[in-house]
Amino acid sequence: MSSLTVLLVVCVKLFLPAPIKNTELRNEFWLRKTFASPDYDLVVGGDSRIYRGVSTTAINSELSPKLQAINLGYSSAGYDLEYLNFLVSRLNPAGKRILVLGITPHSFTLEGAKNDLYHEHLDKGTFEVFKALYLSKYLKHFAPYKATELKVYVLNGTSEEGYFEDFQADGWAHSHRLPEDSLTAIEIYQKLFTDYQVSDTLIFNFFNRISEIENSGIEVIAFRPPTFELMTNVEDSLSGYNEAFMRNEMELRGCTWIDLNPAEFHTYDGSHLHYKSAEHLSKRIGQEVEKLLADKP
Amino acid sequence: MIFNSIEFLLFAIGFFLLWPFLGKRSISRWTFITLASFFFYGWWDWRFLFLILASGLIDYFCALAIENRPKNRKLFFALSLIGNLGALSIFKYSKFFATVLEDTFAKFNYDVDLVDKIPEFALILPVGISFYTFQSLSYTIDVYRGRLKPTRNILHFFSYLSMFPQLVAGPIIRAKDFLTQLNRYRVTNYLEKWNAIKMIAFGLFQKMVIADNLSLFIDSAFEGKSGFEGTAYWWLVMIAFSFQIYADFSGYSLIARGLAKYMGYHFRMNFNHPYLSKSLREFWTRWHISLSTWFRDYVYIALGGSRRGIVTGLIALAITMMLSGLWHGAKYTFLIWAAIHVILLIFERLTKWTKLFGKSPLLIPIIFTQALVAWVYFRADDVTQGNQIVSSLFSYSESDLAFYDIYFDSIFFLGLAILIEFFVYMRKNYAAVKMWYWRSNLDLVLVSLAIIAILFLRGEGKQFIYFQF
Repeated sequence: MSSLTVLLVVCVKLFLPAPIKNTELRNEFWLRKTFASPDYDLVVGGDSRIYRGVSTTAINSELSPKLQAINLGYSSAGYDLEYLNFLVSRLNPAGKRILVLGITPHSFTLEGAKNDLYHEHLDKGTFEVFKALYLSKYLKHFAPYKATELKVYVLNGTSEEGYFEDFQADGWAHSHRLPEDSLTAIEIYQKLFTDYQVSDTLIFNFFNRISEIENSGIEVIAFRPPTFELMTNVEDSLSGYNEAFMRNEMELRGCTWIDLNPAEFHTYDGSHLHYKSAEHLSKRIGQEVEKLLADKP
Repeated sequence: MIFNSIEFLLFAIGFFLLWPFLGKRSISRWTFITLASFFFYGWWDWRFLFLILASGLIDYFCALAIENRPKNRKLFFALSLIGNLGALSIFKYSKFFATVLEDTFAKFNYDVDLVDKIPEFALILPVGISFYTFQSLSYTIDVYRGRLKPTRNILHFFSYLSMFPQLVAGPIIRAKDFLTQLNRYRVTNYLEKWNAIKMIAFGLFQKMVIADNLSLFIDSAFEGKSGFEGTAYWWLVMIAFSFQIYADFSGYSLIARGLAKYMGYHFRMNFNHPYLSKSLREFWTRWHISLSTWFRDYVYIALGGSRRGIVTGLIALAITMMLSGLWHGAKYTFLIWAAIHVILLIFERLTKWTKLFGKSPLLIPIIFTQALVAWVYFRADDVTQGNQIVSSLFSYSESDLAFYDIYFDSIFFLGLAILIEFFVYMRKNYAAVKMWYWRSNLDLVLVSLAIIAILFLRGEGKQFIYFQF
């Protein structure tokens, strides 16, 4: 029986492509963020547009010397005080201390501020954390397939359809979707902003905390991740988010705001950047960080 | 620690590596089983250990007192009942009863606040409390009835009560069977080990591949997240739930039996393909057999059973089923689930309508449908949701069939589960299929395929449904 089982395992590994979503790697990815050590020079925060849109490795490609950097973005993350404090706490007090924040309307809604994914992983038991951090390198070989993947593979001889993400050690998910559809996320956001608006309380608390962070000597860089034009319109018209106000308030507190031209970037679903655009965005952030470091006495 | 986890895999490897070295001395085996089981149970929350210890100690000493002080046996038996049912009432039913009282007072315009006054610790439901309480109770009941000599060794008793494979979700084993087994020293032979591995592999397959893959489809429907409605949709959801709960619980029982078998012990079958039943009465001889027989022996027969005429029999049946409903949880939905079974069982017993069909396989889908309708309330969050779903099942409304593509990952495994049961039916009923299965030694291939499916087709790891009971 054991020989037959081993033979079948080998066949699966040889003849089937890797599963589209490797649940073991996914778990490890989020837990590595949640339990990241407090020794980074640069920390990136934000929601799914950030964890899929900013590669700190690409930021570092613009820097000399390189910084210890990590992307601590989570799916649907929101800027409540707990999340902001978590980001700050991962900065090395003796390091460069740069906080890069991706600003999206969703990250200022009460729905975002629940930070469900962050809490889900924070609440994991010790063994679960141990498993993800130390055993996932073995367990990833046994990541399960979905029936849909096998169906597509059997029917088309390939599984190259759907959403693909490749988790990177720096907290970035290199992602794309086949086939692409810029309208995929629009309807979801339309519904979302009907139920949830940008919260004034969250924004007020956020600005207060940003002032404290800036006063403590941490450099804050902020930007709005570029999206499909229609998505930006939906967000601006439905969410109650005011870009000019946000930028103005951030700059008043000493933050650096990065202007980005959406035409330079490409999303695969209207919301999230294709990995090539993510690398481009990251390099733009890297250039701003380089300037900031050069100006710093 | 759940069976479908890496923690349990490591625990089981450690346990079974040491097990053969314990030798013939019963005391070392009992100590080892008790300590390992406490570790297994304490992994959830070590504070729960106090409850199982307290419950066990009450029954251990009460049973001895029943034996040693015959004049006061009733008192000690009552003490055991109060201890066990008291703990169960506090942890499982206090909120329910408080709500019922609040509602009752509210009807008479008295505003009473009872739920908020329940201490916080009583709102936490210790894992598997209903299972080990019933197991412990059966010990004192059997001693009280003179059917069992109490054990004098406390480790012997606790190795019976806390035996980790069945501690949190059964099968509920009887002291009469198991204390004797624990006394014996047995070395398992090759065939027993193979059968144990087979049970564990098939059990894990049922849980991790079938039940866990069905959960997304079912949960999204009951949580109202899918956005789909309509008759066809709800029928498919409920068929999926019927198979999910079966695969989940039967899977657990199989793993428990396999682990015990590997140790050299025997737990009786807990599920015997209940959806192949040709009457609802037969269904209850195939579904959660250890609980059904527990209620039969300690409640139904104690109430007179069928010996005292048809009316007493039907009343006993109704009380037993309603208690069984309440055993599952402190919710009206479980009572309705039980009530549906009561009505259908009484109707079946009085009219004997199943005899009209002889042994026709047509009875199988009819009985399955009856069980399915009752399952609606078992799974529903509240009675209103249950009523809405039943209404969707029986008053036709069109469904958007797009759910098939969206939930293909679940529906595929539903198809597989139905196919497996169909194959079991064919094997049981057609000699040619049985012979072919037997001759082709398919077990070997099936176990290998089950392991491959567990590795590469498992769903998102979920807690066993019956842990909540």
